[in-house]
Amino acid sequence: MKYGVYFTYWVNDYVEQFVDFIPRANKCGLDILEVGAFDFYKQNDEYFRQMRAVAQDNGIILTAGYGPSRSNNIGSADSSVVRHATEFYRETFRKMQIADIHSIGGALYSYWPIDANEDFDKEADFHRSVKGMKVLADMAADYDVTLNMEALNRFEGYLINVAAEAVKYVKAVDKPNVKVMLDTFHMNIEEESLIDAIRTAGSYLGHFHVGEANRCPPKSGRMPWAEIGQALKDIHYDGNVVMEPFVRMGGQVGKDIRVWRDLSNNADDAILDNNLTESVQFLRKTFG
Amino acid sequence: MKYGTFFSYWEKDWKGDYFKYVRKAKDLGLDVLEVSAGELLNLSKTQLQELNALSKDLNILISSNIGPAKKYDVASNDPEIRKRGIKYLCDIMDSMSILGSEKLVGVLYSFWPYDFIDLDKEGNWNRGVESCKIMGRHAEALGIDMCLEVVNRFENMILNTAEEAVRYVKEVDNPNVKILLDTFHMNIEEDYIPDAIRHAGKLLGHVHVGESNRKLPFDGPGSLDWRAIGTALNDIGYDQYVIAEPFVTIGGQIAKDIKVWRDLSGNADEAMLDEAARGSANFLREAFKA
Repeated sequence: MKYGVYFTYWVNDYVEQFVDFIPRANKCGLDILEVGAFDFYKQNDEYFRQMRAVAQDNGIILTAGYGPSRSNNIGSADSSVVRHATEFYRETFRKMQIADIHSIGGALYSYWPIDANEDFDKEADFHRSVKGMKVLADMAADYDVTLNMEALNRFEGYLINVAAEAVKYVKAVDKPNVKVMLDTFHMNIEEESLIDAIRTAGSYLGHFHVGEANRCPPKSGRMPWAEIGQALKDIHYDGNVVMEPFVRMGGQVGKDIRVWRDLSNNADDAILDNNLTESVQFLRKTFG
Repeated sequence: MKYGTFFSYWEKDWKGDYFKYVRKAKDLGLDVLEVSAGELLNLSKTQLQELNALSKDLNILISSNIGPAKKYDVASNDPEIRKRGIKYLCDIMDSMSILGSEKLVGVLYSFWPYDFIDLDKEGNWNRGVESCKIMGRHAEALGIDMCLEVVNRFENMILNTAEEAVRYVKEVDNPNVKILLDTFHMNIEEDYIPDAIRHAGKLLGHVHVGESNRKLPFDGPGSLDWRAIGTALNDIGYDQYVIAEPFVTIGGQIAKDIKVWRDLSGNADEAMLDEAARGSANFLREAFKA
């Protein structure tokens, strides 16, 4: 397994430039930097060539995360939104290939975060989303990209909240490059057993996010890390394990993730990096 | 400790026949029925007196739960709304007094569900504290405990942890204003649930129980550590109500507010829901034994 971090550990805004985080990830002993794909469509190709070069120089693998805006909801009942989303993803995948990024994960099957005041038609949305995802999958395959469907807690999503629903969706899409993504933060809320959830995903598991219950970096919290590691081994998961900690308030990220108190213990950047380094060491040791 | 269930477990919307539910609580071997506090304002004085008599007759205690609507937000930066909210909750307490209910619990310090438009935590905190001081005096006069519920980050931004609630309640500084801790919310926000309980200590006035996904507490793999939770409650000498707040069915306003997007009841009918509630309460009685 390879270990990484989502860039929002270090900043509370959806920044335009990720290259500074690449050497930082390397310094913290990570294999992977996960970047946000929200703006890829508007950057020029040189931007992605540069990202690829810096990643190569630092021996860092890049992965991507994305929480779709409403205008990019592939399961929308509005066909103009589906058209817009399809073009957005096509351009995003093309640029991912230039940057040598081969995996993108999140609520790609819907939009994020959901507005719970809406009236959702879960069944109809599921079918529309599956239909749209088949198209995205074929496009993604042209660019050597895997799409990872993330199960989210009830406050952030309604279509896929548990591994069983994610597997049902992925089976319905039935494309080799569309897989399941699980996240211990979301699982801790919605799943009865994190271990069973991982086993349910089985060979469909394509990406794995880790964090403590309140989104602190993994370590001495109450997530059953040894058992999680064993479950990943049992299903022969040998993919990416990316930390997604959110410990500081402020910015758009603080708002989206609902961080209303400081969870970093007033950490400065040096301490933040130190905690991250310890976390990845802990995960390497615990997951084997 | 006294064990009970929130009536909403059996309903799709935030109202129900409390006479029916007091009888059901008795049938299921419960000690307490938790009702929707706002609904009490729709009962006449006579109905409240009759419900009081029935509950005394059947030896069922009643606690009253509310997540106030935005127009009753006692922390609002609009003084008219604050005034209206304080009056609303005090009117509820007056009805509770006729009913004989001694616990008013929920997000009394703000509104619910929160809409995250006003993100001024400090302002809302301070205004809420002042309002709780005023309401606390009314509660004190009526012998009612106001228990402020700590909720997860998606439902409010003011009190997400026991540590914050203890600070808040100390600022209110009224013996009748206490804390409500809920295992569902604690499972998301707290580093360690038993530590959060111990930190609240004597300020803990009410407890809500439920699994991580809001099912009824059960014994077995995938459940919260109920024995550790019970030990913490006994360590702090907690002897008040323990109320199951399960949300397991879809459809209706409750599912929308709680964000239940899939059936978690195993397609249960009323009889199955009843038996599950009975079994869970019996399990907790055992697990929480001193």
